[in-house]
Amino acid sequence: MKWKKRIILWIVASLSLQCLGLFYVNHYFLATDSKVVTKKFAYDKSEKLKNNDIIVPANAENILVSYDAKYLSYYQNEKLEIVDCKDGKIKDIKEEDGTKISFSEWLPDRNRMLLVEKKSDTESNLVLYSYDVSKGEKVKIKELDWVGTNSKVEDIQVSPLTGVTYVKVLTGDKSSNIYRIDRMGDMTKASTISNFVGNIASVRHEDKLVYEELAYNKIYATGHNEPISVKDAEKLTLIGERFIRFF
Amino acid sequence: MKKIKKSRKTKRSTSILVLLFIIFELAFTAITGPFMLYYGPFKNVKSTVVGAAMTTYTLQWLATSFISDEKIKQIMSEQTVDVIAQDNLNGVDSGVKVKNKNDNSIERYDVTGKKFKGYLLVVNDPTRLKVGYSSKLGKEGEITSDIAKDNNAIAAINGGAFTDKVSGSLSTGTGANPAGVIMANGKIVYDGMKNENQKRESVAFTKSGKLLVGSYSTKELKSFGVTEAVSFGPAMIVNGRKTITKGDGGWGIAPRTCIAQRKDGAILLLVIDGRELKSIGATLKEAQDVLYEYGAYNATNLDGGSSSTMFYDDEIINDPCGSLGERSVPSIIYVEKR
Repeated sequence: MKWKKRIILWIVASLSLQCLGLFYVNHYFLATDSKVVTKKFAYDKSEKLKNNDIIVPANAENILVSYDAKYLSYYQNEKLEIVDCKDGKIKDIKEEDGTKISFSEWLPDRNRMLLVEKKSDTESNLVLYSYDVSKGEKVKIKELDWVGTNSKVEDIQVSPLTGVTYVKVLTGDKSSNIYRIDRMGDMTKASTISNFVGNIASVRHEDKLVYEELAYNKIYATGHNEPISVKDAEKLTLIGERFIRFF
Repeated sequence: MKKIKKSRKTKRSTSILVLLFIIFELAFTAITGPFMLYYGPFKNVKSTVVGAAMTTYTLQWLATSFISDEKIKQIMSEQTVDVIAQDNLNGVDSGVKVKNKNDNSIERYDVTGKKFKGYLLVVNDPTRLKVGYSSKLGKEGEITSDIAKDNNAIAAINGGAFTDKVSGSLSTGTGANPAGVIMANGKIVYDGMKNENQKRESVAFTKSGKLLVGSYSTKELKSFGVTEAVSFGPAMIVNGRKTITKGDGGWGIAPRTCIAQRKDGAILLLVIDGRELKSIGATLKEAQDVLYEYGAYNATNLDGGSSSTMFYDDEIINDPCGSLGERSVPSIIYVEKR
């Protein structure tokens, strides 16, 4: 087939697909919603709170409690278990087939965990999920497809007020990349002075990250080129984010 | 020998052809698509996309990069919401007679539309509705469930307007700074109005439980005996009449939080989930129509988007669309526990 004819055919194909798509959306999808169904919700108030003891297995590791102690989490045989302290039942995290939870972190002010799942085969990406523990609902936030498949998540710091999540990923060549994901799900790479980063901490009111710069042995904040200095202190170590404020 | 060589050659050239086809289609569609959308005959899609883009903080470029501001204005004006003022001439309590003052029941309904899921609470005694606010106004907002728990509320929805003066990204605000006015328990807790005569779309309750919607100045609110108020709009049903009769309201499709009052005084709280696979969102018109079906006599829109939250019986019953769940806000409207 001659190229001129071919191109014309391709243009027609694209235009007709666009028309079809827009027509469907215009006339069916966006037509004012006349069919709205409502159903009364019946409440089941029969549950009574019992004061039970929660038994944690002896080989459980990394035992953590949620912010209001309504839930417990621990790893048993490298598998993450979340326990409902109301009745001792273990929640079903609904992991995807063939994946393992390689990292988990409780949010500091709500019963929600950030989970990083990785498929057993080394060719697939790390996926970040947000798990609402009380509802038992897992929502995918982002597939971390900017990092090589040979990477692992070392740390996650969350700032619930600004809605920003910072994920520190250790890549195959032992360098750290930090990814910033905002509440709308947009991901950007945080620029740090070098790729050798130690502890990180998020700032409470601002969209900034404080990090230990291992190449220069100093503490920096994203967006600033000068390290943070404390008078008369030679070496600083980053412990936490409670008292960080910028002037 | 020659035949085999030829068939291998055609196989390879076919796959190259398919690849070129796909690349061409994608590129061509990406270039001509926006023009089809904004300059084509598909009015509904165009006005929905423009309305949705212009009423967000971060996505306005979707419209402004392709059409002139004048055209945007024209499209948005075709979607106007009528302005009807509440009938307060015969006293602020006219039209609505609070009948169920001591009825402590709350009913919950799940609402399912073609492209959204929502939750409706019917609170029979309107005098239970109060305004709650962050304990650190100006510095930090708080999540709806925390403000609700601090006020011992049985139910709550997110409330009024706020601005987040954050440089750079607009989606990382902390909900610290309210806009308009916040009044709670008869006292003005935050006043961002220029003066007491400046009108702003309000959501307010008088001492007797009448819901005020539409534009009011703080002077007027005080004169009507308002004890609880936040600022938001537009008013969608006033004196029993819908204000959105043509178009979809002009705010696109998004999560919604709305409040309404029936003629017998009962309050309707509506939250519609959005920006998610299982619930894309609702237009203002769709929210208005749901409330109208439930007998709303006066109704208004509150802050939607990532703020839309409904708290009932110690849990968040909707799915706020932020990646971490609820977002921090400066004010809420809650229902006192009785």
